[in-house]
Formats: sequence, C-alpha cells, structure tokens
Amino acid sequence: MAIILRSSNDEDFEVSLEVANQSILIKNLLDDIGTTSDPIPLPNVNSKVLKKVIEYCEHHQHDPPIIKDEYDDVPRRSDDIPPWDEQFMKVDQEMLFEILLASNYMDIKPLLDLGCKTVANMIRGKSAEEIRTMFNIKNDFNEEELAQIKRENEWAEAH
Amino acid sequence: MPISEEELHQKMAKGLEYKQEGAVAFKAGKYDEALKRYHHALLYLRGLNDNPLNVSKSRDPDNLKESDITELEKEISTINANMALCQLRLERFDRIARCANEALKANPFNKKAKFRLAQGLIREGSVIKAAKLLDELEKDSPNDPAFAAERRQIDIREKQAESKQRKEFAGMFDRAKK
Repeated sequence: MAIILRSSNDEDFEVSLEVANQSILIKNLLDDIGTTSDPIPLPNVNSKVLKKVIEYCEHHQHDPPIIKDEYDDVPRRSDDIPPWDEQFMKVDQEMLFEILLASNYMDIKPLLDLGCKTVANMIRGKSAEEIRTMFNIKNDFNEEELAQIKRENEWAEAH
Repeated sequence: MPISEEELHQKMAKGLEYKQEGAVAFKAGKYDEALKRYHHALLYLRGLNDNPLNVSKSRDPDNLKESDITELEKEISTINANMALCQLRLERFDRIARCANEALKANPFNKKAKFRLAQGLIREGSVIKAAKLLDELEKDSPNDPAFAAERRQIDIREKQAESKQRKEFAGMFDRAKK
C-alpha cells in the first residue's frame, strides 16, 4: 500500500510503506492509526528537501535493521561513509543543514547520523578561522577572550 | 532557511488546535481518534524548536534546570504523555513506555510522563525499573493514591510470576522424590 507524504508546500509524494517506515515519526503514526491513504502532512519539510530524504529512504529501504546500541553514547567514527551515501551528501551547505533538520524532525537516525558525520568531516583538520569562513560564523570573541581561549587550549595545539 | 515569525505562529496554533481536539476525543472515550489528533499535533509542533539539534544544551540531567525547558518542549511532552495514556486505555501495553520516553526526552521534569513510564514498564514486566520510578515520584508526593495502585499492580504481577514458576518447577521436584 502506498503512503502519501505531503510537503510544507502542499505537494504530495507517494512512497511505499517500507520507505515511509524509515521515518520513526511516520512509523509510530502508522502503527497507531493504521495505514491510511490520507496524506500525512509534514509541515516542516519542503518539497525539495523531502524529495532528497525520500531518495535516501528508497535507497536504504532494504538495509538490515539497525542494532540499537549502535546509537548509544559511544564515540563514533566518521570515516566509514559508504560511497553512495557520500555522493548523496554532496550538496550545498543549505541543503546539508536542511537534511539534518528534516532527519531530526522525521526521526530517521541513520540519515541524521550521516549528516553529522558529513559535517564532522568538513570540520576535521581545519583551523577555527577556516571553520568560521566555511560556515559563515562571525568571530564574536574580543581580544581578552581570545587570549584566554588560547591559554586554555595551549595543550591541544600542535607543537 | 529559517521560517518567518508568522509561519511559526501559524504552525504552532495548528498544532495546539490538534492537541485540543485530541483532548476532546480522549474525554469522549475515543482513544484511537485522540491518538490520531495527537500525532497530527506532533507533525506540526516538532521541528519548530529554534535549536532542534539541542546544540550546546546540557545533556547531563543533573545540570538541566526546569527553566531551560521551552514552552514548545513542554507542549510536546504533554502530548506524548497523553498519548501514553491513550495506549494504556487501548491496552497497547508495549507502546506506553515508548510514548512516555518521548515525553521525558522533551521535558525530563514531566512527572506525569514519569508515572506513565512506570505504568508502561509494569505492564511490560519490567517491575524493578518501574518500582524505582515510583520511589522517585513518591519522594515528592508520598500519599498519591495512583502510586499505591501501581504498587498493587506490581505485587499482582510478582505473585503471578511466582506461582507460574512454582508450577513449572513442581513437576521437577516430584520426579526427584521418586
């Protein structure tokens, strides 16, 4: 049975139950109220982003179920992104941010995880100034604060 | 792309409208209908948070203050706790804890949600965890009859488990005697 997802700009997308169920938000809803042909409104995801999210879910619909404790608070690596996923995440920064928000909203943990890993990889090895430029972050520290931060983090600086 | 103030208010209002409809359906005993409304309320209210990924928010429950919880988080928590009660009424016992946990994720200070979690755990058979939760809750309101009622549920379940075990082992000891 097809499930209809309605984006914030009122566009309907038909997906299979398997695809829809990857969003825990939608899965819980369908489990509780039964599969329905009524469109499910997703007022916080626009069509452009929803299309992208569906593409991810369609590609991953036959993945084995995730092992639960994989998501516990253990340090995770970010250099293990499969090639298809890496290609999928080659988007502009705004889209990357939107995907993060949508996967959090729709509760799609593997996609949220992938987004976070992608951001981690963008930051790795870069200086604070480079990261500021990359994400358009204003440097709002004054001289005094800067000096203090430098002192506190001296041990971490490469020698 | 941040949404406009106006859009935010619209979605918020719509979500709260669904929540209200859920409460009405619940009072009328239409628990399925109430769940549906509550789910729709969540579809609108989730994601309206201006800090959805909880960046730089304390994850340590000991450091979190009740004043850190936003109005939106409180609403989302209440909705999930109400959904837990719908699941209880519909006797979908395996889903009570799920809803209650969602409620506590949004607002760890939601005592009703904590109570629903205890109720869910008892019905799933996790009576020890549930008893711990009831202990915590009773610290604040020691004479709440609802807690005593759940304690009785725990007793009933423990007795059931014990007598079942007795029956299972009974045969074994009979054999040993022969």
